Amino acid sequence: MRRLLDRDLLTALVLFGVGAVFWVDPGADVKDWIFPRLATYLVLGIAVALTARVVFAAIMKRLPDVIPVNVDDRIAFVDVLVFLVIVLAYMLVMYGIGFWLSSLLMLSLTSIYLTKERTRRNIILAVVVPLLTCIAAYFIFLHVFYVPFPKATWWPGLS
Amino acid sequence: MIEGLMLALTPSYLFWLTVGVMIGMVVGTLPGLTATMGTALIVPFTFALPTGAGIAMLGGLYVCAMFSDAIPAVLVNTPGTPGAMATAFDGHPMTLQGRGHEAIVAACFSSAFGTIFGATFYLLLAWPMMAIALKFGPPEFFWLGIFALTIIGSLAGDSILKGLAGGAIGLLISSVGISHGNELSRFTFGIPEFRGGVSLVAGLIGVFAVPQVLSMIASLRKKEYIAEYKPQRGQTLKTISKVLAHPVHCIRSALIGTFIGILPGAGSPIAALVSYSEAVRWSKDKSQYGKGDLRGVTASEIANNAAAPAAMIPLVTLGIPGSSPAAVIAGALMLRGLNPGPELFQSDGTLVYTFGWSLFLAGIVTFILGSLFAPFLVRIILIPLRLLAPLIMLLAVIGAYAIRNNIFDVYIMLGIGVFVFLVRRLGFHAGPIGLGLILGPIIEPSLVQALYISDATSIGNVFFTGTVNIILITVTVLSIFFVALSRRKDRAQARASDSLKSRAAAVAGSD
Repeated sequence: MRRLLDRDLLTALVLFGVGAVFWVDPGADVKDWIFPRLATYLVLGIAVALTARVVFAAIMKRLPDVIPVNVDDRIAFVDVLVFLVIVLAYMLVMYGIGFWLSSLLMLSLTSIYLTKERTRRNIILAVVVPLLTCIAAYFIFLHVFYVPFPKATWWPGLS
Repeated sequence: MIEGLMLALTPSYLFWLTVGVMIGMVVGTLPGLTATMGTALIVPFTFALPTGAGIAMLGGLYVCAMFSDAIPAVLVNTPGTPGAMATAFDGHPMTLQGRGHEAIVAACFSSAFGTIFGATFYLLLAWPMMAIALKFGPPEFFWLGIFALTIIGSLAGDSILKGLAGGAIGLLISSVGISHGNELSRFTFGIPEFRGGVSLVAGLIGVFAVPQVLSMIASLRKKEYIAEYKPQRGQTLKTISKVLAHPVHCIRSALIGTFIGILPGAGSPIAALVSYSEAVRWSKDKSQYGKGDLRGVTASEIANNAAAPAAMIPLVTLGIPGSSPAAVIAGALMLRGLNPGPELFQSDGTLVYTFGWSLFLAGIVTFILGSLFAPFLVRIILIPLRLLAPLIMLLAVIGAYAIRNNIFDVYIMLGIGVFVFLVRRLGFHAGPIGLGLILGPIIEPSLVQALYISDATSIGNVFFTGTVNIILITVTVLSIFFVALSRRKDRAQARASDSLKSRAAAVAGSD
C-alpha cells in the first residue's frame, strides 16, 4: 500500500494526467500539432520511465520513496487550504462588491486568520496594514497606471 | 557623438532621465507592470519635453525597470518582469541565507555594468553587430530556443527527468490558445477565454509568486519572517569587489546579453537565461548555483540589462525594434515625425547619440539610486509572514489582472500556482516550468515559420545548414553532453561522500 504513495509513482500519475489533458486534437496540419505533440510525447515518455522505475524498485524489493507527512504538515495544509478558500471566495465576490472592497476583505481576513498570536496589537496590525495597502494600491494602480479594475455589480454605488 | 554626450549631460536632460529611472524603479518592482507598460504610459508626458529629453526619460525607465525587477525576485522569489526569472534562482536563496542586501547590491551593480556595456556597443559598434544579427531567421531562433532549454540541466535539482517534465509542461501551457500554424483554437476545452492563451506574466506569477505565498503560509508556524537580516557597513563596496572578482564571467554575460538583445524578438528573458546557463557551464565550482551563488545573480542581471540598450540597435540602424519597450520608443519617435532607422542616423545623428549616452548615464543613475535604496528595500523581508503573504497575493492578483485587464488571467495564475505548489512536493522545481513558459512563445512560432520555409525547399536545408544553425546545434549538443557529464560526476561524488560517512559511522560504532 505504501508503494502506491511512492513519489515517482505519484509523479508518473500527474504526468499521465497532464499528457491526457494535452492529448486532445491539436489540429490536422503538422504545423499545428508538431510542437504540442512533441512536448506531450516527452511528458508521457517520462511518465512511462518513472512507472518502469517504480516497477523495477518493487521487483528488486527496494524501499519506496514516500513523501513524509507529519502532524505539522497536516496543520500547514489546513492553513494553506483556508487561505485558498478565502482567495477563491475573494475572486467570486470581486464582481459583486468591486475589486477594492473585496481586496480589503481578503487581506484583512487572511491576515487575521494567519495571526496565530492574537494580541490586541497584532489584530490591529492585521486590519491597519491591509487598509493602508489597499489605499496605496488604489492610488498607484487606478490613478497612476490607469488599470480598470472590476466594479461592484451588486451595489454599483460601492465602487 | 561628442555633441550627443554634451546634450545628454545638460541638467534638464539628466533631470528627466532621473525621473524616468525613478518611475522604472516602481514599474519593475511591482509584478505585472512591465517596462513596456511603463514606457507606454509615460509617452504622452514626454511630448511636453524636447525630443532628446523625452527619449532619455523613456530609456531611463526601461533600463531601471530591468534592474528593479530583480528586487521582488531576490526578496520574495517573484520576478518583477520575466527578465528577472533567472535572478530568482540564486537571488532568493541568498535572501534566505541573510544575504538579501548583498544580492540587491550585486543586482544593481551588475545591471549598471550590463547597461553601460550594452550602451557602449550601441555607441560604437551598432552597424557591425547588426550585420551578424541579420543572419538570424526562424530556424536560427528555433535552435537558440532549444539551446536555452538546455539550462534545465542546471535548474532540475536532483531529478533531470522531473526537470525535463517541468520544462515540457511549461511548453504545453504556452501552447494553449490559437495555434501559430493555421490559427486554430487549441487546448481551449470549449472555454472561449482560453483562446487568448496564457499570458506570460500571469503564468510566471503563477509559477513563482503563488507557490511562494503558499509556502510562506505552510511555514508560518515555524518561522515569523522570510529570513534574518542584519545590516552591515560597507556592504556596497564589498559586494562590488566580489562581483568584479570574476571579470571574465562579467564580460561573457554582458556579451551574451548584448548579442541576444540585438536579435529582434529574443529579449531580456532569453538573454538572462542563456547567460545563466553559460555561467554554470563555464564555472569550475558549479555546486553553489541555485543555492545562493552571487555569480548566478550577476550573470542574469548583467545580461538582461545589456540586452536593454542593445535592443535599441536594430531600432536605430534598421528601424526594427529589438524589444517591446523599444517598439514603444519607436512609436514615440514616429509621433514626433521622426522615422527610426538609417534615415534618422543621417538626418538627426545627434539625437541617436544623445539617446545612446542617455542609456549609458541611466546605468550610472540606476546604480546610484539602487544602492542608496537597497538597505531600505531589503527590510521588506522583516515584514511578518502573516502580513507579507496576503500582500504578495494581492500584488500577484493585481499583476496578473493588470497585464490584459482580464480576470480570467487571475484564475489561470491561481490554477498554475496551486499546481506548481503541489508538484514541488513531488520533486519538481518552478524554474524549468517557468523556462518552458518563456521559451514556448519563441520556439513554436520559429519552428512553424521554418516549416513554412521548408515547404519550398527541404527540412534538412532549413534546419541543418547555415553557419549560425550549425554553431547553435553544436553548442546545444555540447551543452547536453556537459550536463550529462557534470551530473554523473556529482552522483559519483555523492556516492563517495555517502560511503565515507557510513564508514566513519561504522568506525565510531566499533569504538
